[in-house]
Amino acid sequence: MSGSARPAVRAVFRIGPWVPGSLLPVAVGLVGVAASLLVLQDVLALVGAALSVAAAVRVRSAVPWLLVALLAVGQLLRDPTGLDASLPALVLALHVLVVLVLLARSVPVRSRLQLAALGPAALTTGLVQVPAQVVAAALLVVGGRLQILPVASTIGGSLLVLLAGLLIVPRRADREA
Amino acid sequence: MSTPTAQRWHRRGGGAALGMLALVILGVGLGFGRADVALLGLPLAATAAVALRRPVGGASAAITLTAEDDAIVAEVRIDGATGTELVVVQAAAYEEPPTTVVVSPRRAAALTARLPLLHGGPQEVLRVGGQVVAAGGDLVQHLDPRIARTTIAPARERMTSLLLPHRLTNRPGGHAARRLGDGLDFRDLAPFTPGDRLRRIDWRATARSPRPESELIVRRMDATAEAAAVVVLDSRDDVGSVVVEWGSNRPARKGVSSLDLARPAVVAIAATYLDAGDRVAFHDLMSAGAGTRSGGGRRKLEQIRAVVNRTVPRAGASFRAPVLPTAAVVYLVSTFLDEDVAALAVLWRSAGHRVVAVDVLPEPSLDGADEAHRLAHRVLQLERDDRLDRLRRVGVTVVAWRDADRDLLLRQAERYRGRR
Repeated sequence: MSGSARPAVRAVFRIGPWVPGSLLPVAVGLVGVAASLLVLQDVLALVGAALSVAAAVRVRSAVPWLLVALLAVGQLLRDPTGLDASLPALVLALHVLVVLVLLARSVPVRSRLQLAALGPAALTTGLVQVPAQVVAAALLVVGGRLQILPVASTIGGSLLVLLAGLLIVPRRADREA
Repeated sequence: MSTPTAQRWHRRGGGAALGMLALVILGVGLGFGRADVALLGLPLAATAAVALRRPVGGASAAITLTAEDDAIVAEVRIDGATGTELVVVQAAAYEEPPTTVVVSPRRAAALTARLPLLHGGPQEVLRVGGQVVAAGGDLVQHLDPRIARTTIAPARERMTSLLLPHRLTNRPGGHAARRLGDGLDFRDLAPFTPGDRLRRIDWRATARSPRPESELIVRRMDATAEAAAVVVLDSRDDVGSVVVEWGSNRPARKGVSSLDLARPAVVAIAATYLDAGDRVAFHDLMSAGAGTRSGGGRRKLEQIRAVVNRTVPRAGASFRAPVLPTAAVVYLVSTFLDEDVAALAVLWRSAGHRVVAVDVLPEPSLDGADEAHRLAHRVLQLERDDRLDRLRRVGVTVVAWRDADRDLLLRQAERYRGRR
């Protein structure tokens, strides 16, 4: 039968600022590729990128956990004396990747995701990252890779800004919704 | 709000997998003396620990519908569980595929959607389901689906012309009858006879009369009488204006349907006769119990409105012709897509009733129709046109309710006396 030209009626709820639900798996893929390029080298980087794409497509399978394991193995294979500023970035990327995977498993791809709904997850991520980043910076300082005062002030300032943003933005979006 | 039947939280398994992975990374890092690797496992372990939190209680959904002039406002409320982080709401309007939104619990407690008002009568407007998510996405509780139905009353219309039956009843009413009575229309002057009321004596006519002085002259008036109208609804099918949807009959896509036209038609016809002080009966051809006996007054109109509001298409129901009162004007409201309804109109006409065939088939739209659809529709239309022509030939007044000139057609029929 030919389709009707009449547009379908849809229940559209007003939810304020939103993003498509498909953004979460896409973000999983992007963060996965970025982390792979940051940590893995040569063939492993390609494997990591491929796993990132697979994790984005099959986010509810075990592929995302394989990617996390691969990134950890990649860090293990790196020279421990060659620690640099990529360590805090990797700590952040791996954590964000895991949070995004858990969210993407719950949110349907074809949905509208209210920005304010990401508030609790973002807040928890921020709170966990504060001590993690401090420990990462401490490791770098102990290894003589960074000067303690500039690092501490930079990380502290960044985390304060991040924390303030995490506390304010979701609430404002929720109020506007 | 009713209590949901399945208030159970289910684990997706992601939290456990993440916890094990975090422990392995931490163990490997510590085992190899690599603090940087162990550090990678710390945030993962913290996230897995968050997934261990258990929310409390069960969530449930409730829907409230409010009908406005041209829209229905649906308010959806999902609440009940403490510790919920996300609420996934799937809402399907008018049996269409659902749309999904993911919102915060606070927003889920007050979701509002504005839906177009598509049809009259009883209908399913919104179906809501979904799930609430907690523990960083690892715990899920499915919501019991909720279906919101409402009944939209037909618009209050009136006809401007009133088609009377060939013969009025003996009860006093709002129309001039051909017999003597107490109406307002002057009939003639006549000598006073026992039984005449004294106030009917015309003293001037008596004074002018050349008859003996003892004989009084009275003014005689026409009686008033009421008409009996019967509205018969054929609720067998509810076809829409979009022809390609005649098979699937999807509410959101079929366009204006025949029952959307029929319900206001029945109410308008009944209201016009009842306003004039006549008696009206309503019958549904497909449901012997769904009808009202002949009666008058405002309560009768409300009774008919209530019955018509509840009318739904009954495709498989048995066809049952009502018994009509003598000398009634019969309004047969149908799409006339079937032969037996037209045969009924002919039968009633031949029994001496004045019959009006109210055609409620909507203006057809062939958008999206392929060649086979167009051909089938053309054949149906030709058969229907033949049927309606045959009705006209036997003296049945045919009026298309969607026609803007329907009142004009009824006025013409009112003037036409024709054969009885």
